[in-house]
Amino acid sequence: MVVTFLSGTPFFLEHSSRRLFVLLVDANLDVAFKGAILHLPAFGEEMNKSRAMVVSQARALAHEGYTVLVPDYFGTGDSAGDFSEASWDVWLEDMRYCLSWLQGKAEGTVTLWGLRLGALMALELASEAAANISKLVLWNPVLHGERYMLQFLRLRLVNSMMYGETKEKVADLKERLNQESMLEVAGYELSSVMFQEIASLKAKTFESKSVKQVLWMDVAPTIKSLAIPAQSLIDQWLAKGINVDVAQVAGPQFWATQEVSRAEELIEATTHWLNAACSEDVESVGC
Amino acid sequence: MALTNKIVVLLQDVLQISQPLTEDSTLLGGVPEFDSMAVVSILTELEESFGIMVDDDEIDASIFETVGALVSFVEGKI
Repeated sequence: MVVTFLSGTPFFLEHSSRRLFVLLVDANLDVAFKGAILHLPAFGEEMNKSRAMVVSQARALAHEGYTVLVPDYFGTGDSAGDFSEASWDVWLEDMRYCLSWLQGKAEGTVTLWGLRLGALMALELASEAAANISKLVLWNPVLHGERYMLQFLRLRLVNSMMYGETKEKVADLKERLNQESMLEVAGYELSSVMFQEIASLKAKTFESKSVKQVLWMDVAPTIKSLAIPAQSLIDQWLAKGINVDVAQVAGPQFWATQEVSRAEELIEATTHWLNAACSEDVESVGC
Repeated sequence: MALTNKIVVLLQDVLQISQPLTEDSTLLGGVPEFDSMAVVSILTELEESFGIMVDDDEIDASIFETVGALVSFVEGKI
């Protein structure tokens, strides 16, 4: 019975006539309740490829006493809607709704856990005073929306190169997105609205009065020093009094590998950090 | 050789393969893991690791034919 329980309950959360698929992995009742965690997924194919890892992490946390909610953005995964109808603002509104739903259920503060582009979603949510977020877990965060979108457009260019079609340029694709409302990239109908919204996101503009602790996880097959933009952002946050713990672990970048892959050390390190942060935190409910 | 070794490690990391690669190893069409997502990841890694910028015009099948071709390309950029 316990196993079934920890495996999670899938259901739909309905909000503004959008049906969002969510997986709720409830805390193990045999241990003390430690808090609630909302996962903010990666983008596009990265989200599909990381699903198994995300669910494994959610189960590992549930085992330790956390309740974890894993939603699919509108127009992705098992949620209703088409990707072409989605926009960042719609996703943000839905995640805000998931957050308040989880806050109501868990009667306490919620930790946000963002993967890749989901880290920028976590920062957006955490910057809102009403969200009252004190802890963030960021897995290989994307820091610069525009650079990320240009890499996404590059996927279309590389596809055309590999299949010997007429070669395109990212600059032309960007221009097309200014003229037309939609562009197909690697099977995704990317709207110009979504493109512009994501391209305007920057981690370095993040401001929050409530965030006190950040776990910055970086997984790579070969551990090397963090990229300069990442390091300078971490320094900036530390200077603001945010306690940032950086942990680098060896493992596959599972959101990008061709076969589904797992980074066990990432799960262990994340669970360990949250447990340690929880035992230091006597103010919030559950911890 | 040092550059070749660095690029081989980078390729093995991104592609998640352990098979040995030499300058003559075929990439495009030779390694099943070499898909478009992998190519984009490799380009990003090369740009970040070597501090280079790859222009759209330079993204051509010829630079991904073999490990040696990719090494020469990077050599010309740094």
